[in-house]
Amino acid sequence: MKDLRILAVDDDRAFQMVLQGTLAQLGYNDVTSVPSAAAALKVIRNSPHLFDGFLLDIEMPEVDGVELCRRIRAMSVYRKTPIIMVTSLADKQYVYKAFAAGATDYFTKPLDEIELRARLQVMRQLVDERQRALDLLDELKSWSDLPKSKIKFDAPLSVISANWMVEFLAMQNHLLTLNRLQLFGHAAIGFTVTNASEAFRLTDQVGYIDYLANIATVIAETLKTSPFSMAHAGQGDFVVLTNRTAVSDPKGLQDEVRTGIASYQKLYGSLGLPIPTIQVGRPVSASIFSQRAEISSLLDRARMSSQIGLEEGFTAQKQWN
Amino acid sequence: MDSTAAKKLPAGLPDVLQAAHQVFINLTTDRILRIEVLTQAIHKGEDAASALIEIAQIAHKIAGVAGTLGYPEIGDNARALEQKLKADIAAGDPLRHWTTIAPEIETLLDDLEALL
Repeated sequence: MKDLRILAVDDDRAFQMVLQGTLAQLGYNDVTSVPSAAAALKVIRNSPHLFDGFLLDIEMPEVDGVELCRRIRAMSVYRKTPIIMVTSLADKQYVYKAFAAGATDYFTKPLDEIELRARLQVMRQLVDERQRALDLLDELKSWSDLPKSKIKFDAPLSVISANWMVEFLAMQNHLLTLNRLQLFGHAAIGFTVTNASEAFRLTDQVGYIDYLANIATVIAETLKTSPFSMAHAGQGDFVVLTNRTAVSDPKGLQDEVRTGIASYQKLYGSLGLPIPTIQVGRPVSASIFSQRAEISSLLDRARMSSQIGLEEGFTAQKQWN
Repeated sequence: MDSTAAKKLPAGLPDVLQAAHQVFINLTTDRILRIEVLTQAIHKGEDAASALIEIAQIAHKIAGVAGTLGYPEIGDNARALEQKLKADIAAGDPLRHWTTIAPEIETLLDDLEALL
């Protein structure tokens, strides 16, 4: 397995060495450590190779970790590179700002080896996911009929390069950083392509990603009046995170998406692909008293709702009442 | 590694962290002296907010590694001190708990001196 090339930024030399030693124990040996945001930006500018991920301390003098995160994100080559924030418990409230600045994940000091291992696994998954997307993009550009990379039907995948498209893991991590009030203001809505497995079987990987990208664009067009982010969770399931009040009529939304998809009927026909059948789920929100486990399952519940569908969901609900 | 730090190595510290331990011990002398200068400045009525912010930053660094390097009690005390200082600074009244915080700073300094 390729070693991840990591840049770690922390102004405490002792912590840098603890981090570097622990990372080496976990098998991550390609780690560059610098003591400040200014030094980090210099290394990034002068490095002949791209970094696979960043570990940024939040509390640093002059330019702090949140601002450094924002500056790294502003570089087009690092727009989607995993950035993991390192914070103390006293600074945990700044994690929300870090996510707003584009951070992917975080862990707390003092260092816990198990937690660090888990965070780096997330980093590796994101790097692999991005690599698959880049390989596919290369294939699209070269019009190759023989895709070299492997995508899995069940795996999350960034299907289109747009500012509203995020990785599924990043969306899950973002939810966990919201305070109760912020969380209460959000809703997750699932969109299931019920015949996605048929399209996956009938086309090659480039065709499948194009198929999903088209669906994502249609969904985005129906949501354009409210701010939202979207992730593809795998299995033809999309999850949208938006304002709690944005979708009051999921049935109307479903009709609008289906109408949008129908306008591409000829295109699907010419490609020999089935017209995507979209089911929209009910908006799923956390209550003000939600526990961490309930928050973690919010996106899964949104997926489940769209997999069941509004009609059957309604019948099931009536049977319960 | 210098012999002073080698004598102070906590039992069970992984080999991979011994160099970090050395750096932590070397930094401790300067940190003790800096905290003493800052607390004296507060007692003299100088800019308390700036001094307390810097003490909180030093406590933050100690809290970040002390536990990992075999000193969990120092790490916990530094973290508690950091949180209290930051809460008072954020509330706009950095000295509101000074009478209880000053002895905690003294305890932390004593614990750090014992490492040298």
